[in-house]
Amino acid sequence: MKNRVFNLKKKKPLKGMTLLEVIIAMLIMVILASILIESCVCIIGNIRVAKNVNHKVNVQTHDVEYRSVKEAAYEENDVINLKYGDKEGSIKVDRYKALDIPEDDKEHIKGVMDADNLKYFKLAKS
Amino acid sequence: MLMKKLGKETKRKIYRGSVLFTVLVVMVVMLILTIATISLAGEASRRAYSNYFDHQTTSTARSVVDSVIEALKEDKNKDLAVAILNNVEAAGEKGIPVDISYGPENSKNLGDGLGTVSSLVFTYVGKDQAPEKTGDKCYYITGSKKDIIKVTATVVQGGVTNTYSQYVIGDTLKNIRSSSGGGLIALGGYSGSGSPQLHAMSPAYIGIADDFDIYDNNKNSKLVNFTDDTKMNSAVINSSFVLKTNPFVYLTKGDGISIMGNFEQYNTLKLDTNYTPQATDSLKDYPYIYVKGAYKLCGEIKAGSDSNPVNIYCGRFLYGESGKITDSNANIYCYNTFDTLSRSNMYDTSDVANYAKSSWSQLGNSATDSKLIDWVRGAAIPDKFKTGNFCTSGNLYMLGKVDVSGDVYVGGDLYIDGFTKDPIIGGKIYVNGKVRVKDTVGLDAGYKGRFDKLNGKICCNGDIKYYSTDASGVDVDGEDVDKLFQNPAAPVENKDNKFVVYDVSKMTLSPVITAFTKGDLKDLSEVVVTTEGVKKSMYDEKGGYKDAINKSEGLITGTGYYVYKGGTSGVISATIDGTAAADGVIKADTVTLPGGKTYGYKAKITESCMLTGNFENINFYVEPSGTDKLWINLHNVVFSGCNFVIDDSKAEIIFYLPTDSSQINEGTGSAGVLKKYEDHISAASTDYTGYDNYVHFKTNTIVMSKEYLGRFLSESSINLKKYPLKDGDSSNDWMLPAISICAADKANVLYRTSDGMFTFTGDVCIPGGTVDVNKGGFTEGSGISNAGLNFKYPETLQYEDLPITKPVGCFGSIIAGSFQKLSNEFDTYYIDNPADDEPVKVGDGGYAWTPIPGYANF
Repeated sequence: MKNRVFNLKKKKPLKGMTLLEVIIAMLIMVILASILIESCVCIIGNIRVAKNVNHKVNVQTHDVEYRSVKEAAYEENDVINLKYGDKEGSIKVDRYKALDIPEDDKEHIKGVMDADNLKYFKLAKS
Repeated sequence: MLMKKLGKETKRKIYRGSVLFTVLVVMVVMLILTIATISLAGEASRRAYSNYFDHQTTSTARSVVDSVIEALKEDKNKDLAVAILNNVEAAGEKGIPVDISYGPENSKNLGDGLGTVSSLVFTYVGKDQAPEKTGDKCYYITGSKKDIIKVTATVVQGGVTNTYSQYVIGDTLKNIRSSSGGGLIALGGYSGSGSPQLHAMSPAYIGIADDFDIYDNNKNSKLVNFTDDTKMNSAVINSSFVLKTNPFVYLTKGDGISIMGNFEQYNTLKLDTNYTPQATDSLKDYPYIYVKGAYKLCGEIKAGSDSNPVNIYCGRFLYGESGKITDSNANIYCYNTFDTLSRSNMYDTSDVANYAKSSWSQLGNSATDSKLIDWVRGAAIPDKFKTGNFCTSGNLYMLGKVDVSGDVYVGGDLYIDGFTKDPIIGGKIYVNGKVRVKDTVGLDAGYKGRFDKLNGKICCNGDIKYYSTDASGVDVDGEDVDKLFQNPAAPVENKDNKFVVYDVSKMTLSPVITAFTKGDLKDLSEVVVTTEGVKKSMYDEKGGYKDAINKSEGLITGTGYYVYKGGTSGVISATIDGTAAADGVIKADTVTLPGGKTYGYKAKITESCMLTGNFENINFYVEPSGTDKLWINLHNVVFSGCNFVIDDSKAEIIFYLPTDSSQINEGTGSAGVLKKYEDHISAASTDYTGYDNYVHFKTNTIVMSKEYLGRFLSESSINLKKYPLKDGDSSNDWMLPAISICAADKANVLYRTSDGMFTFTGDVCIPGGTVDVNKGGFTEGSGISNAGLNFKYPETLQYEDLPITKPVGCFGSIIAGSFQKLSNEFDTYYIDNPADDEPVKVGDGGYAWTPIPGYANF
């Protein structure tokens, strides 16, 4: 009897996660998981953009370096002003933009935004 | 048992929140890892964009620099270019910052993703000097002697800053004398009774017509006078030259007078200089007078002074009885012979031309001899001769009194005749050949054959033949040779020639001097300026002027040419059945077309042709069909009211006037204008009248560039009223930009502005005529009055403005027969264009501002 009483006295509720704890934990996990997923998406996006930008720079540098864009200037007779003391001058320039990355370029990830094309300008022809 | 139970209970004990804690810890760790990953990915992205900005800013900076360099060559930016270049050196390492802006807000951002130009700086680097030039800021690119300037642009974008620099060679045009570069060219003229007073700042080229001869009609001498008032700086005179007056020539370091024929001098020629030789100077630095042929000195030449010498170079020196070289320590380099005229009438003193025929030879030619006879400085005739070194590539005879204060170089053999006198040599004697000594040489008869007054030594490659002459004039063996040498060997007697020959190779002079060779004679090719040098200079420096003093190229041959004339009657083509003469030029009698009076035609000339006959009121449009030179041969032709519109964008267009009989009729007004001057029209005719065989450019005949015509017809971009041909005649408001004016024989140059200023943007070539500027009117020819000239050199930005109180000035090249008065000053002039007047584009854009390939910094 004593033992029984003793046993009854010692019988207590089990110490584990309460429902509240479980709920909180799951909530946190959901939040963190969403952040993680979002981050992964962002990381992938960044990597794609970086890859595209680097690829664009690599491809377009030649055109810009050698001023070899064959397409017409996208803006002509743009005037840049010069001044030294009371002497003024001006430069009339044509602006050129390197050619877009070709459609079939495997290195280029389509649908991903990147930087604008590299540009340069030269003294206007006219 | 109890313990076991207790142990089990203890193990089961779980702290509250431990699971949550564990979950949180795991989450935090994951979060950290996630953030790190995001950061790394972001950094890669930033690097990619940084790379992009790096390339874009570099491209933009380079675009800025390249565009600015090109833009500063344009006429509209000349003021800015001049301001920059004139101040860049003084600005030092900081350079000159030039503001650059874009758009109505004057933003430094160039827009459209090109970035922001934070600075544009011009920095003086140094001089482009020849390799041998050393010193601060001397670099060798091409040896152009022009300034090297660094143009740097800095561009910022996306936090990335990039700089691009390009080195350029710019002709700053500062600190140069007026009439520099092309200088003055006077070609083919005779002063006549007017005795031209040439006041010319160098470099001058003074050409004398081939058929000109006032000295002696039977000889080939081509001589010209200058008056006492003639003042010159360095000059090249292409032919023989007689001086009977007392001109003054002022020479600076390295300057000189080159006479490419003979020079016969009377009275006094004063060559003054401020140059003081330095120990490190070379022969190039010495001012000089150079006579390619014979220099007959019958007057006095003051070649510098004791401390400021002017060297004398000549082919053959004819030292007249009254000749003097005074006040000088000048070195004399006589590359052939040196003769004196004072003894035994060795030469006909009036016949300079005969000497000229054999006067010049290459260095080392010892076929002829030099003689120093009564060549003395010192007490006897104290001021007669004074010189530094004496050098001859031929043999040298020392006869009579000879006294040279410097060294004596003899390319051939040295003969010393001590019959009456003894040589006095202040320096050393260098002889490439043999030394032959005759008679007693020395003041003291007790020392026969000794160089008693020889302060220096003899260095000899060959043998010495030493002999003397007895009282009866018979050669006898000399003696005392041992006193010349430290270890004289036994002489070998040559009885036939009565020479005693010593083997010098076995004897030792005291002290021994390195053997002299012909190579030790100075090569003057780098020292003096010659006609060829002038031509090269004209071509190199100014481009396109190589024909200035060239001979005819004879491109008109006898194969026939066509003249196309358009007009109311349509296009007419006709063949000119020309026959080339020996010089390749079609003569008048072979020409059949076109001729006769024509009115209202618009003629188009597309091929080389010859024009002859009378032309009135015709506009000639000269448009070469190909890239070959188009020659228009003018002969027996009269133009009146004609215009030539030249399109020389494809090919050079040359107007040719016959050598013997072309002229511009001064009485009828305006001068003819030809695109390029050629030497073959330089032959002056003494007959200034006549009609049949002459080319007459009457009033209103104009030659202009197509570009100019375009300006004139389309816009008011040029204020033509500033440049009328004729006062008060608005219908003749023309000017002649960038065109060389060329007229055969006598012509008046009467273009002027309404405010009394004359403007020539090209060169002026009037070989046989006078530069006759008249303020009084277009058709009057009363000589030079108070009008001024405003010349602009086509390849430069520099203007020269001479006040109207001065006679005439030139800035471009002027080729003229004679100068009534032509003066220029030691000064540099800059003027602005007339108000409200857009600068006229001349030449190819005009400014030497050239990027140096391979000299760019990123």
